[in-house]
Amino acid sequence: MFTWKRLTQISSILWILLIFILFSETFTLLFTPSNENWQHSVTYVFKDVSTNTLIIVGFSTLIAGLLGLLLASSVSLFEFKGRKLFSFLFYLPLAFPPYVLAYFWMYFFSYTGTIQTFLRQLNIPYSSTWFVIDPIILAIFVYTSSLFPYVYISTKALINRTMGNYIENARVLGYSYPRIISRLVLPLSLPALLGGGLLVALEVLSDYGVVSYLGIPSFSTSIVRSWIRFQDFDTALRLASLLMIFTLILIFTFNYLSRKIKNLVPSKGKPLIPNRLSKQNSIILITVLTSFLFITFGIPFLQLINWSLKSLPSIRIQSIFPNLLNSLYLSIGVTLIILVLSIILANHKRIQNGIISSMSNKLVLLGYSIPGSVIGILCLVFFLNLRNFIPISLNKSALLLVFALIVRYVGLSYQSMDQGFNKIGMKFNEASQVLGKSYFNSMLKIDIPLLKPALLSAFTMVFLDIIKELPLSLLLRPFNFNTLATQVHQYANDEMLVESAFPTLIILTLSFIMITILVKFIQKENN
Amino acid sequence: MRKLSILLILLLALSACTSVKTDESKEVNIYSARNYDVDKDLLNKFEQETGIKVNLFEGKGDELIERLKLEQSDPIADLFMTVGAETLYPALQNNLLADLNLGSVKETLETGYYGTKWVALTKRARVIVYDKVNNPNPSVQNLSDLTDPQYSGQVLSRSSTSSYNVALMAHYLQQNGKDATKELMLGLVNNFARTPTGNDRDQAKAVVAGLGQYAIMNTYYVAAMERSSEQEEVKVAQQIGLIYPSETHVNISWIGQIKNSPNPTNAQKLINFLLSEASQREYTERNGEYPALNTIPVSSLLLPWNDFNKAVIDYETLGQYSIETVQMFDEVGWK
Repeated sequence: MFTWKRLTQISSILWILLIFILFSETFTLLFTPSNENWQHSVTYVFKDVSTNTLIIVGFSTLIAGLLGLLLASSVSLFEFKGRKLFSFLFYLPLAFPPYVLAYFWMYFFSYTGTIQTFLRQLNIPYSSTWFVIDPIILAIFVYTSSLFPYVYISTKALINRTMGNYIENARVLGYSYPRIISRLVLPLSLPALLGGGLLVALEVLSDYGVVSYLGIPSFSTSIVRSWIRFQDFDTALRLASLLMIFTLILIFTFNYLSRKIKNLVPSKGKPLIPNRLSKQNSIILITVLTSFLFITFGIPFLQLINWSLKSLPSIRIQSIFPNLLNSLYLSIGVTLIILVLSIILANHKRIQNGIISSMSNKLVLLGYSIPGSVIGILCLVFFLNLRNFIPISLNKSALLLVFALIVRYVGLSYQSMDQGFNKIGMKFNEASQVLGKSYFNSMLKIDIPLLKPALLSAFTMVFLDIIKELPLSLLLRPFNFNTLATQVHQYANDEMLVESAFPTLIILTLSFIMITILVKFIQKENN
Repeated sequence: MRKLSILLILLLALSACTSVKTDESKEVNIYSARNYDVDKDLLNKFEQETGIKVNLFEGKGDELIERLKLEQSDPIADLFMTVGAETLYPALQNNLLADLNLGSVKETLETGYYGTKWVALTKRARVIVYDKVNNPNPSVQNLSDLTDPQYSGQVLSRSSTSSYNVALMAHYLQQNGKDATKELMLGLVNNFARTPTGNDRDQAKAVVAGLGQYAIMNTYYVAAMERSSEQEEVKVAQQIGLIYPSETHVNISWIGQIKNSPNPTNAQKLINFLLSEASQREYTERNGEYPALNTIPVSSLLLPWNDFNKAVIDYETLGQYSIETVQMFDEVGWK
């Protein structure tokens, strides 16, 4: 008999199967003999690539984790003027595409950049060598400053929700704040730190724009280089499968650790009431937080505004509006489809907690961790093969791009749905079914409303990613289809940084609106 | 009812993904790696003048070649245009291009800058730049001069992932063989002022900043910096001097028609339009490239086309040397 339950089960199995087919080619390659390009890569580039990737991913994740923890603690533990505003503003750096930040900071420290121009204008003697920054350090800085909100968001929620009792007791016992944060907040926040940290690590692993511009050999640049420069798809996929294995190990480790500490950490507790700071301390804290925001967000943002104004006469302004519409259609449309799919997948895991669903968990996340260009080419090959059976017009519809974006980002939303369903469990749905409602109705009336916070945060995160997405859009968009991000790329790729500012600013504005809606909703829920 | 409405929404979403088919005979499909505003405006102008709808798909040259290969049995694109001759070899090798009928336009073009299946739209020279103020009497003429130990810590270049560097060294390899090329690469790497980073403009800025004395750079970006909206960049463009080596490396931006393409006649019309004097003038004035038509004057910061010596490059086989070039970059440690 046709039931919604059956339908969701079948569709989730079909999806997993699809992903499996998509990725299987890469893994099977590992068991075939390699060619000379592969040998060349192993001899000359492998050491550099793995060291760089490990250093960048490791440090970015650690520093983003530390920043997220400290910032979340500051706005949760203490009461000071502007606390609410700060706790909102720390979401915003997430809106910055990392590649834009890389372009910006490279400019900022360059000869024509803000600092050196300023020093020259004041006739202050200086040496340009002072401003030469190691590309790897710059990459870590860029990733950290745009990705720390992932950790910040999850940690803040956890601190506020569960740590009231502990922190109050510690305060009563006269523990100093550094001690409270290091001995109490840090270990109790581990699940959130791991969850947010995993997202940071995956995003850094798959990013291409930053490392490619800064000239750092990494996994993502080598994959593209093997494919494009060596015209060797085989070696590219081989590298991609190594990256995937590395990612799987990472996901397993994070999941394993999360499971280990799950029982040590309370899932419920008293909400935390922030402690009013003395005037002096609050001035110090506000100064530190403001400077931090100014560096990660303020300086690049102000420069973008300045450039936007300057560039208006020289950019093709008539492209902006259609590109804006395309960006909106694509981000909202695909995000909605992803939400539905991830509900189906996470729900399937909820009802059937077996090997398949636990495997699907990892497979779905995999898409999020490999460079977009690899997913792009895998999807392209898949669709071109499909064209032998079904007539599809690849260049006249956005179908291919939509599909690839779903593969790439469904994992992000799935993670939050899965956590959401874990919190809810089956009991409400079952109770509703006992009371005579159908499964689908119970899902719609009970589970979905309970999932609302997870849904909204998933929507925001996926939206923010898709609106700034590049490699897939570049590779798979249909004819005459540009987005704001591809327009940014067009200018930035041609080394026209000033001209790229205006479309970037629109991306940022749209992202801010999304973040504001999310934060307003969270505040309402908390009240 | 609810199930029905959800199905309906899903169907609507699906149908939104497919678009209306237009009349094949009145359109032309382009895969282009020339992602410039001037190109978009020229294509618009073509649409208005001829009534032929231009469908544009922009990407990177090599990626588009890969895509054309995948679609070869049933091509979608009519034209392929790109920056860099390195893609010509795989395009010809994979039999992606159709014969061109350039007709009378041919007479206006310089020999060596078109073939039976391709034609250059514009040209760019890769030169050595120096600081005119702090180094008024530069002592180098050729790339090989930069390998001299006296320039240790004085040479600036972008990374080996840059397609411009690949083309430059592939050309050297094509002409001088493996040993000489490796020696040149190694000499340059030994004299690098810093680990290669940033783009072409960043190298010019580094020269003026005094991080090194000489940088390898495209003329196209010198002209672009001259038109920059940032005053400081304009100053840098004016402060650098250009050294055109005795055999200057010139790369081309080229266009070709795809074999068995759906709209060959329209494709031909568009090629002729882009090679017309008016279009060529736009390319030069708005984009700072050397035009395919040598009669059009270039920016005053660049040497006129006839005032420097060009290396003779066999563009059709240049791409054959790309892979080996990239491998050699790895071997000598050019990051």
